[in-house]
Amino acid sequence: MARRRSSIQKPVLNFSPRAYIRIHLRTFFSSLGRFSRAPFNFMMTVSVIAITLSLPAGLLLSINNLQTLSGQIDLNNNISIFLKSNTPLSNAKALTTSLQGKDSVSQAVLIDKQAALEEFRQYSGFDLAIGMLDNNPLPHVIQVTPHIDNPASLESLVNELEQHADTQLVQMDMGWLERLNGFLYIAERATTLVTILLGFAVLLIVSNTIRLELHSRRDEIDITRLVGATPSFIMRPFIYSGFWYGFFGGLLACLLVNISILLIDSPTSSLASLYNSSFSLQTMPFLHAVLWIAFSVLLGICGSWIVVSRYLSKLER
Amino acid sequence: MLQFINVSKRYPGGAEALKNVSFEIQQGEMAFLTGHSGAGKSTLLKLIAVLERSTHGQVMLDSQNIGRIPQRLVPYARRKIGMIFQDHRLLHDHTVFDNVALPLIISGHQQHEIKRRVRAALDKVGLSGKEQRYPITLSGGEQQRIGIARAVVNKPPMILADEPTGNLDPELSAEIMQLFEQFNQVGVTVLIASHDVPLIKQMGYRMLELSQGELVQENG
Repeated sequence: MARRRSSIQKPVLNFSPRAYIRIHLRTFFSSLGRFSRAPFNFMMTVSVIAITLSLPAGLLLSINNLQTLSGQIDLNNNISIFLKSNTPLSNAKALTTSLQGKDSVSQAVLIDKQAALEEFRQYSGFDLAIGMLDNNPLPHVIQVTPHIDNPASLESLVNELEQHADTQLVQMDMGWLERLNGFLYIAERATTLVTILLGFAVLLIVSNTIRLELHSRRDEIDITRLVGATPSFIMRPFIYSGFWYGFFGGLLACLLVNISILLIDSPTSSLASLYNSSFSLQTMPFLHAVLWIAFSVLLGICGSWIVVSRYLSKLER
Repeated sequence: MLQFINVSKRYPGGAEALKNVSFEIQQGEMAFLTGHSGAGKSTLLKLIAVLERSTHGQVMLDSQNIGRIPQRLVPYARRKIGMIFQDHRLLHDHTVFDNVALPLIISGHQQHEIKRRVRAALDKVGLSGKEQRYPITLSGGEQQRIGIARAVVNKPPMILADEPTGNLDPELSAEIMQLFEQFNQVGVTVLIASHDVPLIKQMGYRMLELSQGELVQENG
């Protein structure tokens, strides 16, 4: 017997994208409408999400601010280039001039070995001992003040100076800058971990809220199933709920972080002015805010999807 | 339209709700399903709505074995049947209009089409003008009419009713039954489960009687 073509089918042929969009738009706004009927519950969940996310977002922003601070303060410390002891003075002068012409250098001063010896003789008190030396043991030194705004180009400037044929040693006090950067690196790692953990927390918050919503709308789900709703039709409003929780939670988190920054900016600026720095805290860049909101929306959608699909697969068994 | 071929249903745990049931309902026919509580009426209706699947035998709807269709097609099978329940199963936080519109929203109809069809369905069951009321503010008979309007709004070829007059007084029951007759007269196949035997006998349609899961009597 020939197999009869199934008369019950997903209506693919008369499927219209417009009907699909219509269903989506309807659910999109009706899920918002449901929140407006219970604004208190909605705001509670949104606030919990916002507070949870504002911790990693705030940490990350603080780290960004410290990174700019470390860049501003330290990078333009003097670098001392000790030339090899047999370098003729003319070479040293030529190198100084070429350094002065560089964009990354704001100042280069040559201290020739003779001048250095005189200075040493005057200030050290080893006048007699120095007089007994056959030749001048000091090298030519060039003091360079860089004009640089990030650690990477400072690194490359130092490398370049070290490569020079006449260079014996390049010295700069980068110790505490390196320590700060090391600390910031650890803080960045820790923030990543906190973000992952609290991201899970947001996922669970949304899941739990949606689970309660599923329970309170059990009858509605049963009835819509009875009149022929597909699982995706039933899921859609809950997915949109997750979307809105994530969206408003993320938005509020960004607001909280920026408000906090504004609140501590003026004491920070006055502290910085004591150090002759014009440093002031930066608010969250727009792109970062967009990324945080997108992250939060993603968590909201995933959180509700997990719960609803589990619930429906149990029903359909 | 609807055909049961040697259908048995055994629930996990051993209770056999239906035993080797066979019958056929023609397109455009109206029939009643009777029997005591626990005779298997609800199970039989659940098999047609694919809320349960048969253990043996075939449940054919429109020449298709709906007992064996894949799960993802079940919603589309349910759209071919308008179902009515004793407890109405209405959404109490939605208006009458929204309740009746539900099947149309599910299948993605346009707003003006939904409005037109819901009005027509409510008009047919005598509830025009009550679109914006909430079900709870209406009487039991009127709530049942909302359920009926919802079942027919999608123009399904078949209507299934499970004790639609269970909670109504005789007069209202008769009115509801007349409503089903009207739908049957325009070509809709109707199967009604009811234990109100005197009322059914008086109407003179075919009767299928179930007893302890077996079809014991077929007349009409």
